[in-house]
Amino acid sequence: MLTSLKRTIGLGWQNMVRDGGIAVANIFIMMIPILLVSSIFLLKDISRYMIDALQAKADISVYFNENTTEDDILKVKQDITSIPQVNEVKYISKDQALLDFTERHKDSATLMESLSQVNGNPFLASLNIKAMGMSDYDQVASFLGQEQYKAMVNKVNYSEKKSVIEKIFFLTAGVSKTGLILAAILGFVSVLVTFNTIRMAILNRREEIAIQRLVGASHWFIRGQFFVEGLIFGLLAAIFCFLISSGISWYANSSLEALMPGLNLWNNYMAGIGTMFLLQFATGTILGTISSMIATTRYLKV
Amino acid sequence: MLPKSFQACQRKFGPVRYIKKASMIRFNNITKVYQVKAAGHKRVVALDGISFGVEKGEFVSVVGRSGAGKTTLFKLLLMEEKPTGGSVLYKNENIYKFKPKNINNLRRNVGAVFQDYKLLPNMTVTENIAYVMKVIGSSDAEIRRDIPKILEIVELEDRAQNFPAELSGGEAQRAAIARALIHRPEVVLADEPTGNLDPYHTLDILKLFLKINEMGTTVILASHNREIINKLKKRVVTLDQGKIVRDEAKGRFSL
Repeated sequence: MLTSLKRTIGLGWQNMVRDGGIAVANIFIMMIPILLVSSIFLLKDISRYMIDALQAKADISVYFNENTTEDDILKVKQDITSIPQVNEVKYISKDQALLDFTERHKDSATLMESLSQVNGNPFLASLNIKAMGMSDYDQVASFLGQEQYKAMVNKVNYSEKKSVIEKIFFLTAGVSKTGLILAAILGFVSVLVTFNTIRMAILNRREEIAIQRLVGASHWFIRGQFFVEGLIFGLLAAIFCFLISSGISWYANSSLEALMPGLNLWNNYMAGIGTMFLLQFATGTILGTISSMIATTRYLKV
Repeated sequence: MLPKSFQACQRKFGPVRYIKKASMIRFNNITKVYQVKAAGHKRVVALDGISFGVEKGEFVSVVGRSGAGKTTLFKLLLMEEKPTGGSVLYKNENIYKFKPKNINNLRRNVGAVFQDYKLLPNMTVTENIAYVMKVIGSSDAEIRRDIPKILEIVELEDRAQNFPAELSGGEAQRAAIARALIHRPEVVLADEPTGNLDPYHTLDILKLFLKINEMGTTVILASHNREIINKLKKRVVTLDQGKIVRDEAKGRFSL
């Protein structure tokens, strides 16, 4: 048993080395699906960052009447925070709102002049609310429409922002869905390409398989060699892909960080390096061995 | 018709059950028809109701012109192809009812020399021969011990590390013979084994076949070489257009 295993591995390795050109082609083709899986892993952080950034722009504000005290507003804040669908509530005082406006429009002379002509602070204190999902904003708006808040609340900008919020959530859901569909299609195509490349390589050796059958080699003795070959192809392809993905993560890190502040691709990659290697290793070996086994079966019927 | 000796026995001792001696290999009413697609699915009859047996330890030459059905007969015995009709018995068992494991065992018991050599292109001469030994489960020590001997017999010691593409026709044929004989099979099937050999090597290979036959191995040789068949003075089965036209002990090539 052990001798047979040793011989099968030896023959598989020998076949691969002697058919060097085909081996290189197979390894390169197998790198396509592995790199695709790796890129999904790498792009996951980037797309998450983009989705978070977009969703962060979705919010509603509730403005309070001039006569509402800060304590009352903070009490409302507390009430809103207790709603499970609410993610974040930020209190912006009158003074803070003025400060923010001045800071934002300091370069606009017209706006600054208009502001100076208004007596005092024209801004109202407000609460900025971020909910978990799109449908949750409706619930928050209804909550603020309750009788107990009517005397305090001047305005809730939900109806104005509704279409923008809907667009943001539609876009982010689209990004995730499109990414998944695209990954599934590309994954399917690359598996098909890999399978067919290995099948073509084995087709070239159908005569060889027939000879091995005619001298009495069992199905598993022959299959084993191709299994080992497929395994080695997958392993080598996984190693190359691991080096490539590590290189890309390291190289692209500084450029991405400049584009997307707070995103550290290299740190994220290093945190999941074990998962990444296992993912590449599993994709390579499973694809290599299964493709070889299926492709060999056809020519064993001698 | 019962043999005369058996008839005499019956006269002397009364009714006795006649048990026909079982052949090691028996072709029973074998027919093989090919549908040639290139010729508009034309039917080509390669073998037409052939029946004959080969005893253990026998040396049988199957002769005939090209296309007479010699190679087809060998392909059927190796289960490379299935007959259109009839059966092939190996040790009284229909080989077409064999399970995969038994098919492998049959092929391991038969050492075949193919007309087109069928050497594994990615393996050297030594590796080609060793492959068969690995298939039957020989140890590494046996492989190291036996291969130099067989290479010496077929005079291929200096070609041991060459690939089939680097061999001449005669060398490839001798490598194929070495591979067929290395594991001392019960039966040797040799399809035109001397077709590419020079007279010197032809004689040596024939002597080798005769020697292994003397040691008990059954040999079935297909050839259209009149000279060697007549030199052998062994049983000759003559095929013509897929039919047996003659089956003679110590026969001659007479087509």
